[in-house]
Amino acid sequence: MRKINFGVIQFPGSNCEQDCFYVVKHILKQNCSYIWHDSKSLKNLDCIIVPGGFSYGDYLRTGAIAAQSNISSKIKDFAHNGGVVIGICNGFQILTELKLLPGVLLRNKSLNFICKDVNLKVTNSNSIFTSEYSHNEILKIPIAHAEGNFFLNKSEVSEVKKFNQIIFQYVNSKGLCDIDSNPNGSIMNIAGIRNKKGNVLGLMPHPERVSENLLGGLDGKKIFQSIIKQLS
Amino acid sequence: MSKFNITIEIMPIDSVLDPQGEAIELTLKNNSKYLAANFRVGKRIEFTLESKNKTSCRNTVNDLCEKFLVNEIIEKYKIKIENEKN
Repeated sequence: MRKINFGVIQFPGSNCEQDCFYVVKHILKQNCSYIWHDSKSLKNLDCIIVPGGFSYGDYLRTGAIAAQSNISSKIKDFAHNGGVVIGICNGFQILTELKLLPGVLLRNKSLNFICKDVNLKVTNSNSIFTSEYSHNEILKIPIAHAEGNFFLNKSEVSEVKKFNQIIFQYVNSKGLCDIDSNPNGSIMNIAGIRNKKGNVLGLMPHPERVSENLLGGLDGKKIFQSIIKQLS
Repeated sequence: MSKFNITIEIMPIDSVLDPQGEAIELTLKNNSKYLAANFRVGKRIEFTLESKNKTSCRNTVNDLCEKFLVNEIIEKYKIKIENEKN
């Protein structure tokens, strides 16, 4: 099986890029490189990871300034040409500001920064990012954010349902989507969503933090394994 | 070219929950001295812009808002343009 070429984008203020790099390069034994935000090209990548953090201090709106940087227009072209892109936490916020994904991430309903494990349901296992999971599988993955309250306007709500774009939802331990298991006020308990074409995913939880047993779980690893399988 | 002073007021649209406004309101509810309600919290951005005239200035500011300063899924905005006073 050929090795997949991953690229992890680094913005000023990114802080989860080393975790992503470590999982891809050292746990999953793939090729991986860092891409600085000012880079003129993306080299020959198969998959781009836009990591978590606080790019540009979260000024203006989360992800808004990163979305204007040199590399972001390259990410947009890459995605429009069918390249696989995954945005985690702040990466998700950046991808919505780039309009590669629908919606916006607002301040958490409670206004608190929330850092804890949450239960997630794999709502759609028929995707590039979730093919290694079973349908409705329940996962435990940590979140760590202040702006994770996913918002869609009315027309976007019907669109994302129609095109099966909802990939992960916050649930209780029995797999039920209820208010109590929604940590941030996200519409329809959405934790992760893909674009219509299916090659771009954004999610608030951090799969890179649960990709080896030493760190408390493996529930996030299959996202990266799914991508590798699809691209091999 | 003329220089203009620009002010943009950005507010969350009505259908978006504004937890900051709610938090302010909730705090004041515990204080019967004020009868204030319906708080919404936004932001104000000021800058200067050189442009041919006021119309072209307004077009540029609108473009800047739509592409960068404002996310129209959740925000609305008002623009104020004044000739720079020396």
